[in-house]
Amino acid sequence: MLTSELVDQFKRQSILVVGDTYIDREIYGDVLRLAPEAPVPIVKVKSRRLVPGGAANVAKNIAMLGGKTFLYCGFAPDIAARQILDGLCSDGVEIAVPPGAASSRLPERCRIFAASQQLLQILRLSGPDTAPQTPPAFSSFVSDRAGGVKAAVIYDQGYGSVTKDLLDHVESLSQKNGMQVVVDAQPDHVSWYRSASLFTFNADESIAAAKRLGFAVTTVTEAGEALRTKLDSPILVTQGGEGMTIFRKDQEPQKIPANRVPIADRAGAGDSVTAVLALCLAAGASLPQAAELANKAAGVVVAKPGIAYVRPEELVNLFHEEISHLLLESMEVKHRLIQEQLPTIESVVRAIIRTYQESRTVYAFGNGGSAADASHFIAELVGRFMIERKALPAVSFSSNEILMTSIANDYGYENTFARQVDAFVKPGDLVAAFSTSGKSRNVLKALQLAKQKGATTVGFTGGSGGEVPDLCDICIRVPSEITPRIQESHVAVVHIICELLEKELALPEQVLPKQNLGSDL
Amino acid sequence: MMDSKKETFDRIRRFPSAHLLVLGDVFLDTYLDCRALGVANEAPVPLLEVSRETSFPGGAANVAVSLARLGVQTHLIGIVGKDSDAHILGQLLRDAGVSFYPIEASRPTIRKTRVLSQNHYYLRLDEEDESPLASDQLEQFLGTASKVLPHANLVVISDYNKGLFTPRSIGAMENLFAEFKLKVLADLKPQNISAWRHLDLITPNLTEARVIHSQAAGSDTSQVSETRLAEDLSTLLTCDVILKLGSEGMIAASQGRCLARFPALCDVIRNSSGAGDSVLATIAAVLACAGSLPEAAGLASVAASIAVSHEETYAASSDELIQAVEGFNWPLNHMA
Repeated sequence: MLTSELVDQFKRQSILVVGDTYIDREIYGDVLRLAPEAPVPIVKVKSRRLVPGGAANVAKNIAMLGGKTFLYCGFAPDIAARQILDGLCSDGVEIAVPPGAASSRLPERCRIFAASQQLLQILRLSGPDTAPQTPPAFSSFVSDRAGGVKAAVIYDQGYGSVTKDLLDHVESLSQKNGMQVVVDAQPDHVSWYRSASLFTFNADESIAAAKRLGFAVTTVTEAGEALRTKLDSPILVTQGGEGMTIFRKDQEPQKIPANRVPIADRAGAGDSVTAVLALCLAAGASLPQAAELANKAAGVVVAKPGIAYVRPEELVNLFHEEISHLLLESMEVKHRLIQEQLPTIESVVRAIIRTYQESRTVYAFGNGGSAADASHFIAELVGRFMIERKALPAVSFSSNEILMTSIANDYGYENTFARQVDAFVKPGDLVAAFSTSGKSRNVLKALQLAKQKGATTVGFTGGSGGEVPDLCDICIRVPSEITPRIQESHVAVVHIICELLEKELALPEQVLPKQNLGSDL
Repeated sequence: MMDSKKETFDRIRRFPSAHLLVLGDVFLDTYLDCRALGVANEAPVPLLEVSRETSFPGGAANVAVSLARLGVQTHLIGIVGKDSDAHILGQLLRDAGVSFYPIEASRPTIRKTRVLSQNHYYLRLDEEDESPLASDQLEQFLGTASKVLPHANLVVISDYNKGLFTPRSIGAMENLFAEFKLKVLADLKPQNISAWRHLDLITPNLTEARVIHSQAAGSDTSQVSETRLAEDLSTLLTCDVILKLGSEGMIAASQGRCLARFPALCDVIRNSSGAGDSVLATIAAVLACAGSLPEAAGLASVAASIAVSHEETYAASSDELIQAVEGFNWPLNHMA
């Protein structure tokens, strides 16, 4: 599934979110002076923001990505919480509060910023009277809606909303409906879980969780391996600037490097990752694809200061950016070609013109994509490129599959081109060899023979060019190590050569009207 | 000597008969006592957990609380926001026995939050909007003042330059004070002093006094002695001056003459925040009960010594004042 198609699926997903909800308070200010009583900054507050945190923030992330979200809250909200939850409702999150749940002040995490720099974080946890779950209410809430729910997120920060009881309910639901379960787990509670579709941890949590399960681990890799075995489920560990790693049964750990973006801070990035993972798994994406997209979402979120969200169009834009990145890469290679290879291209044009002035023939060959490029070149010569002119003698050694297969069969593949050179090439002919690596045996062998027979040898290659430059009178080396980028430049150079030599060889009165120009090849 | 001490005690006992009106910038002083948990995982900044949150009335509200502690019948008019901090401040003032007339404005209640862990001070958060007060809210403020003023013996101004006092509002307030022929004592920021036509007494600290002096005299005053500074100010501004010198005590000057200089009366300073408010309150109470300037300054020194000997913001009660005065030769040596 293409990223854009996957993102488009988000709006058809319903996700259940259960777990610890808290308030994220953000205070933004300026520091203009120090306090008179001690040399510490005075942050003059300019603005404040209250945002849902924890499970509520995962729910909001899902809603912002277009998904339908059900958030189960095991408490009756106080005034500040009400304000947060009302905002969530208007973002499209459906919230259920069990009847009879005790009112409780939500835990709060306050971040203080000055000039987009975070200074301090202050936690305010509610007392031990955090409302316990009321499973009967949970069951009825969920069973009313579970029909369409394809994934659930369990968000456990250890603030008390996630209990063993609640987990058992989610598990039985998942067994009944085949629902995917993504767990953002508290390390102390890992022993409560039998299995899940995916467990997510940050680096520190993964190590803490593995230790909790009795493993003496010090690194994320060790922790991931240990957790994967013990939990019998895939593990995804987020590692901040290092990206993320997936640990799956019977597979090598798969590392997904972080996107290189300027980072404001990582606030909220974990919640966005969880939301994207749940939406992707609900939409039927594979775990690696879900993780790739979640990693990209994290890249979007960390670039924004404070708690931030990612929107579907931003993910699609990232996909488009990938396309434009590839085009820019192709352009970049051509740009370097301009800087390095103009005299070489000119020499090739001169050599071909001389070959035709002496009534000799041009031959070309290569393997795979380079075979196509070689034949493309020959077709432009025998047919026409843009201007009407007489036919030019040229032959591709790559386009006759009967010759190719018979020679390969009888003499081995490395002789496929050399045998043809032996049959056709005469002194004064020009032989053009296409090989991006410069290492194809059959190409090198044919060049060697052509040189011995007194032909002019021209190489189209890339990177270091392998042995091709040594065997060629003229060699166009595309300054890139990436095969497709090299081939794209080969095609461009072939077209340029054809255009230049055709201008030189055609008579002015033979120019065709413009609308009939162009090659079908 | 005994007569003088008795006279002072009688005056302190008459504090409850005085009605004082405090006008000024009220705020909430909040202390967040935290436990340091380590470093936050999303950014390398300290991660704290609140273990105790305590709030105290600050600014003009603390002056009012100090007056109420002395037994004075205290009225306070100040600007608050439509928020929970206004509710907390109102409750604290009610508990302290202050008659508070809050004027609700479309700005947050001013709050200074100090974030501490053990005795380590991380930062202070100031929530305030210092833009000038909207005219309808100023009208409301003046309307409330004109209802309370007929009952007042004296006015105390506590100006922290938070938008309440502007040339316009000061002019309107002075007209009201003149109507009721009330003495005005002020603790104010130097930048607003030129807007006042007449004040009866100011209580600057040394830094403020030098700024006011150089403004009024138009010359560099950094070399002028402290006594001379107080004397000059009393002439230049034609008002009495109590110059607060912190651990160096205080100087009282009137009409170009130094009337008294007292040293600080305590050895250990535990917390000096709010001590200035206690000084202003004590002076106001003494003057409202017809005491002299040296007597007011002497009692203010005693009040300050009680305030700074406490860990948290504290104001002396009239009983504590009497008890402390018992320990001194009274009146205090004017020129210690």
